[in-house]
Amino acid sequence: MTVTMRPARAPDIPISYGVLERSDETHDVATLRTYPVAGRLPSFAPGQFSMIGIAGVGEVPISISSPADDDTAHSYTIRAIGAVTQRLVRAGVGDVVTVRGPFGRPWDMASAEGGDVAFIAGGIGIAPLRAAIEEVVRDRQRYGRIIVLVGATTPDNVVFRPWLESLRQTGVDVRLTVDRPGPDASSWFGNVGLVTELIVDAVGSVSRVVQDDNPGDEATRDRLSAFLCGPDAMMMATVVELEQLGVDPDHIQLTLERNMQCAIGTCGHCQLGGLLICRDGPVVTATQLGDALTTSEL
Amino acid sequence: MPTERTPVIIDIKGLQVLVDVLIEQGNEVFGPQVIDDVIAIRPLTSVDQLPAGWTDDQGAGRYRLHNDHSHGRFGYAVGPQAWKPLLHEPTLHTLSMTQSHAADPVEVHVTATRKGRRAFLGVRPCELEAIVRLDTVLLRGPNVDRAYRSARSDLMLIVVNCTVPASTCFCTAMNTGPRVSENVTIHDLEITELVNEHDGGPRYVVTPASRQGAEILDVLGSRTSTVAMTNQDALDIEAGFRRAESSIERHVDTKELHDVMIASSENALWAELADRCLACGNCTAVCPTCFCTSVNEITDLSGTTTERWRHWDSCFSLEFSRVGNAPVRSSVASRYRHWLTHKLGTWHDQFDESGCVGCGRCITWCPVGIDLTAEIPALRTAALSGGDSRPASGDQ
Ligand SMILES: Cc1cc2nc3c(=O)[nH]c(=O)nc-3n(C[C@H](O)[C@H](O)[C@H](O)COP(=O)(O)OP(=O)(O)OC[C@H]3O[C@@H](n4cnc5c(N)ncnc54)[C@H](O)[C@@H]3O)c2cc1C
Ligand code: SF4
Ligand code: SF4
Repeated sequence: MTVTMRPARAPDIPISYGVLERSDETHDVATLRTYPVAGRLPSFAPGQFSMIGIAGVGEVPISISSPADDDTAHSYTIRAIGAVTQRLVRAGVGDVVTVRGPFGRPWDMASAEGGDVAFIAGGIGIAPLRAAIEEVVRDRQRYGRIIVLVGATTPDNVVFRPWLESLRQTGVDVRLTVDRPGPDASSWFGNVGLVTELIVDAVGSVSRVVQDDNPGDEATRDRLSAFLCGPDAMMMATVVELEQLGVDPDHIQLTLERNMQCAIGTCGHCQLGGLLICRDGPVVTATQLGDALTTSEL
Repeated sequence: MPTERTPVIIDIKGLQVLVDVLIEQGNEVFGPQVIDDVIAIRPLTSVDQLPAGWTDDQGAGRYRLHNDHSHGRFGYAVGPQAWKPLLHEPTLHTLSMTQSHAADPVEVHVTATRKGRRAFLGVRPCELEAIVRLDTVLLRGPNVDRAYRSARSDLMLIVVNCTVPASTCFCTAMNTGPRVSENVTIHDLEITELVNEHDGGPRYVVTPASRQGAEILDVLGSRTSTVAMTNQDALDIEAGFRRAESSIERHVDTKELHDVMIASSENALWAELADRCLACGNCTAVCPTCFCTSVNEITDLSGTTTERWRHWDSCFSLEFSRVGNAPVRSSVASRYRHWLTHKLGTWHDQFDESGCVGCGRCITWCPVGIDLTAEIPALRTAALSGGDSRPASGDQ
């Protein structure tokens, strides 16, 4: 029996975007600002990603790091770790890359409205959070306090440091921490240690502030929404920490990384237990995640 | 229209007429044949190519064909490959990309489509169920697999019910055979072979299952003598299915199997299985529902033209789960756990059905003879006793 077809918007066919601008963020991270040269991608929401590639090298999933209100030029902030990302990070202005997308479930920003918001990033994990942070800062009357916690290996590896400093100027509670302050330790005024060590102080104090504003409101602690991106181990430790502080796991969102070949739910690579990350994620709540990250090698 | 469902009976000559009609209507017909000592699916123009008298002897890590000189053409169970390679090709060129200079737009030429009508004759009920599973994954998700969609278009599916199951089959446990279920609606004709060794050749009870199937039967009726089914025939068919069902040796208790699998993630059995499993991936290659693929790109010497290929991949390979510089599933235990848990557990979460249709291929073709039906009871016992497992979620 013949199967009825439905029209696809060709999410499997790469189209061409040109590099409009590139900026080196750290020694191995660069942001490529791209614009459509032949065809264009549908609108995206913060947290979604594209399959971006260089013809002949391959394509990889990368989150869109620019704000969603610019629907034409998209930025990708990429860390060079392997064959494809190394070539992407070296791309020059005018070079053409291939893109497919946008894919996946975005951050659920609406659920965070009316409460405090914490963004917690490890390393390159700040990239998928940037579009969401920009949105919250732009609509800041809809949210309570805004906290941004970023951990990196060394001060030189803090991605978007100038932007983070500028956020701090606008009243966002930005806290940075590094594993090692490095040779110029004297010039590092941030924290040293894991990003999870910043949580109690930052989040705990915010909860108290909210409680003072709403005496007797039992639900205030739940009114913190957290957005996480980083290595699996960092995210798991962060979830544990947040849950201990009483944050509702429904209000903890994480973006997950798994191997992806197709990004359209048919290659099977991005399974994490019952989740297909490209279809059911990459953004999931801690509730949806359950014990998927604590089960080793799942 | 109930009349549409009325079966007719044809003999082997009638079956040839069916093949002829399918070919005349522009179909390339495929059917089971003996190739390299196994039952394999190949293009077919004559019923003489069907495996007359052949039957199979299957067990854990064992497959042998022998000819018992019966009149039947379908007296065996499933061979090593289902119809999957024809629908979801092992190696597929998906597109070419041309770019002369880094600053030029990339021209993309999509090739992942095929043209032409096909008819699959001799699809077993469990194999039909496997096609239902592939349809769900590759056609009914938020996005459609282009190549699979075109392979599934213009396709006639002709089921031949099983009357001689193998010892590795457990379709009765998975509700997928030996007779095609009334809940499946993707096929066009349903055939049951009746072999009576005393009165000559085999006869075929043909029931239409779709409008196209009914039309084919109309043409068949005008070209060959068909007879109506008698009460005795109906009794013979029922007796045949009861014999087939009672000959099935392997069983899986599917009650809350999803929950059992989910609760088994820390079971010590996985490490024990890993001592035996070679991580060869045979089980994934022969499984009619395994769909995973990987993509790679090959460039010509000038770097101008890139060919993008897609290959079947296996969750038993280390590269499969690679993220950054390391695989997520580095131990064989975790890879075996992933495979079996996906088949019987998480497939339900992802696609609302089971990833296993009980065909038994992974048992037969495992070089060390690992038999999932023998392992599941231990998982169930541990999961129910609590042990090191977590409480199960809702029944799927
Ligand atoms: C949803 C999502 C969002 C992401 N967002 C970002 C982001 O914003 N920024 C960022 O920096 N990273 C991001 N990542 C991570 C990024 O996708 C990986 O770092 C990237 O895939 C690494 O690719 P690579 O080719 O450079 O590295 P590799 O690990 O070398 O290769 C990745 C893939 O290529 C294959 N491969 C590698 N080497 C070979 C070889 N020699 N031969 C054949 N195949 C090979 C591997 O099988 C692997 O699947 C994201 C990941 C996901 C899933
Ligand atoms: S898991 Fe084994 S028995 Fe089940 S469908 Fe796949 S090959 Fe057949
Ligand atoms: S066929 Fe057997 S040995 Fe090979 S990967 Fe599967 S279970 Fe392991």
